[in-house]
Amino acid sequence: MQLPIKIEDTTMNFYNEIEDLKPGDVVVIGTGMLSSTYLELYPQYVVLTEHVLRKEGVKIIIVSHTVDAVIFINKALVELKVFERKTYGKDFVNLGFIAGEEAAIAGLSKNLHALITVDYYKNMLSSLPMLENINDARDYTMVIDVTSTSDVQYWLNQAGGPYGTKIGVAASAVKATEAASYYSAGQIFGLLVSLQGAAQYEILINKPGYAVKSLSAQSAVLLFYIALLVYGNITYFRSRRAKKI
Amino acid sequence: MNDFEIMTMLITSTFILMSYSILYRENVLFKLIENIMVGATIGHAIVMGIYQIRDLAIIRIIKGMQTGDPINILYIIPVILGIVLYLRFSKKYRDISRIPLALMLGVGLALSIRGLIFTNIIGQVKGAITPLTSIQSIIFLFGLVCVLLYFTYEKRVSTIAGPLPKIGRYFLMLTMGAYVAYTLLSRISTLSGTLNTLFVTPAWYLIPVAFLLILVDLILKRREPQ
Repeated sequence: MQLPIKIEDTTMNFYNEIEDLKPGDVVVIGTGMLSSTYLELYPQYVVLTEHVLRKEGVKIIIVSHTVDAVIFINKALVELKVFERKTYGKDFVNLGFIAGEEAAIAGLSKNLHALITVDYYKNMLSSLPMLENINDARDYTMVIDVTSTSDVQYWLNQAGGPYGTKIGVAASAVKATEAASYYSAGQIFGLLVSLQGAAQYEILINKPGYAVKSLSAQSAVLLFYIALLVYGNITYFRSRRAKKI
Repeated sequence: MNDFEIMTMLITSTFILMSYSILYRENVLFKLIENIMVGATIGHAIVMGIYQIRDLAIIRIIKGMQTGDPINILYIIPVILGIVLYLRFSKKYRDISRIPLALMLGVGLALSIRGLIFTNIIGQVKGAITPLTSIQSIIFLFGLVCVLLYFTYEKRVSTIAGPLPKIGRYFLMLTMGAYVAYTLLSRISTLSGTLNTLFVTPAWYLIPVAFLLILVDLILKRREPQ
């Protein structure tokens, strides 16, 4: 049984911003995915990358902020058949993992070519035509950060604030409360929250998949949990009253 | 599904069941998977770390030596500082390891402070100044004032503010509740994901095997002399 899924404004704004991308625009898809948050973030990563891939002429820079994320990025690239749909070095590049957390994001924002010389596949950056005119955060049309770590803060600190780069965040449920304050302050243009954000996005791009399927099960478990909470409280108050009598 | 995919699925499911076996009691299989997980994570991180040193520094240093470019040769400094960090294991030279540590902390703080002013002060204040056109924005402003008053420990302010600081405390409790609820949501997503992996053919064949093992263990435990 499929429960109805309501599209929230945070997701809709994300979709609209990507929908407005034009040929020649540059999108950085960064991720701080961890093994522990893979099940929440991977569906978001896949669905967002899929949407960006559908936009003709948009250039994609893929980067990983955690060592774990490298594995999941490779999985997503295979699943979405990116190498068959786009030309490597011309339409997209994979920079792989760059150590240094905020320092790495600062480097990506200030001077990409000064930070690293080779991409994930050991190609010299100077040999990739796509990166010829891309140097710093001013050249990035938007940054999409799929994360459960503090990358959102780092991207805002290093790119959003100083260069005015647009930032969209797809976060794990735990991280979403922090990211929500940036969304309500207008510092990020969109926010996908956990599996339900991915499910809403899957519906928006008309590609229902893992998240849509899993969301009904998740909702059922949550309802069960609420029922347990109510039952526990009723029992507690009953036992307290019984003690008083 | 090819043989490799079936094998991967079976291994993954076995590992999941081994992890969940802690729900029954602490056992050898759980300890084994715990060690495998820690080992695999650290192993992967070490390999990635070595690649990083090679890509970010060694390649540049070699290039610098070949071309005579002094900037690239200077990348030897962070490599030396990185090695110096390990001097903390030496009793005699431990103090020297504080130099790169101090440098790392200093650079990190400097980078953060630069951006934090934009993000967490100017950006958030700008975000808070919104026209009061909706109930949401009115509640937001009211909550913001109350929470700020809650953290104002000046006695005169507390007297004038009346019940507002207490209301601020309730707002904080609501926020904490939201945090907890989101954490629960996160864990349920993980649980449903793992169950999705388990309840697929042939992975689910392992579930009765796991229960059988538990049953055998229970019987053996009963037979043990008290």
